[in-house]
Amino acid sequence: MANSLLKRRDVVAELLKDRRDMMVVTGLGSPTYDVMAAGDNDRNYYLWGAMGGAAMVGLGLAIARPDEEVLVVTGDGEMLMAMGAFATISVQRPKNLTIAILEMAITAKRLCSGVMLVMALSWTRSLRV
Amino acid sequence: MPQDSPLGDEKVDWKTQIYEVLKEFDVKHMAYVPDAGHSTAIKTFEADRDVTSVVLTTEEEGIPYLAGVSLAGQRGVLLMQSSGVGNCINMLSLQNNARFPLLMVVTMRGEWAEFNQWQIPMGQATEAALNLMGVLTWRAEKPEDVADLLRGAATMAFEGDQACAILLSQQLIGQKVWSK
Repeated sequence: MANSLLKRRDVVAELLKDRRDMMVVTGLGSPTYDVMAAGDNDRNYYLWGAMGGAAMVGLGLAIARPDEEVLVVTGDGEMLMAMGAFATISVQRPKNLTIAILEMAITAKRLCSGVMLVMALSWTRSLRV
Repeated sequence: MPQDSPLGDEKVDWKTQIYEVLKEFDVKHMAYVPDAGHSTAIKTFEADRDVTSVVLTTEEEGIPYLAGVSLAGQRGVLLMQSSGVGNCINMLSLQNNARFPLLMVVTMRGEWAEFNQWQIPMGQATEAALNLMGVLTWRAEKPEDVADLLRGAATMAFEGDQACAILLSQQLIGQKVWSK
C-alpha cells in the first residue's frame, strides 16, 4: 500500500489550484510549508506555532467576512489538539469555512513523505483529491 | 453604602457597564465559556444582533478566534473565568507574535472567600501567568473602577495592539454569586 501514498505537496498544490480569492489559514508545521510552496499569497495566513489554533482562526475570519471563502489547511495532529473546535464551529455553522486535514504518514523509511488521506469538512461543498 | 466603603459604591451597575464600554469600542464579537460572574454581559451580548456571540469548548479557542476576527478588521472580546486563563497559555504565543489586539475580561476565583479549593491554584497564579506571557493586567476591586479600567484596557488593546486583561476580583463579584 505504500506506493499508493499521495505526495503532500502535490495534494496541497492541487487543492489550491483554483482558489481565486479564497483566504487560506495554515496549521503549524508541514501544512504551512506546503501552502507556501504552492505559491505565496497575500490572502494566506501562516501559523507556525499556537498548535490547535488554525481552525479557530479560520472561524473568526469566516464569521467576520461572510461573503468570502475561507480554507484551513492543517495536519491531523494540530486538529486532534483542538477537537473541541468542531463543536464550537458546529454551533456557528459558517457556510464559507472549509477545513482540510492532512493525515501525515510517518514511518521509519519514509518520514513525512506522503499524504494518506485528505479529509475535508465543508458546509458548502465537498473537496476531492 | 457610602462611597468610601471598602467595598466601593454598590450602586454602580458595573455588570451592565462592561457591555456598554465594549459597545463604545465597537466590539462585534464576544467569545466566552459560560460563567456565572459574566452572566449579565453574556445575556446582553447574546441579545444584541449586531454582535456575534461564540460559545467555546475551551477558553484557548478564543485567542485564535479573535485573531481571525482581527485579520478581518473587526474587534472582539474574550470573557472567561480565572481557571480558563491556564488553558490559554501557549495559545497566547499567537498574539505575542502577530500582535493583534486582544482584550480579555476575567472573573476571579480562588482568591477571596473561595469555597472550592480546586479553584485556588489557578486563581492564585492567574495574574502572574498572564504577565509571564506578555499580557497587561489591571485588577478591578470596586464597582466604580470597572468601566474606567476596561476603557483603558480596550484602548491599549485596540489602538496599541496589546494583549490586555481586566481581572474582576472575587470580592467585587461577591461571595453570594457562588452557590454550592
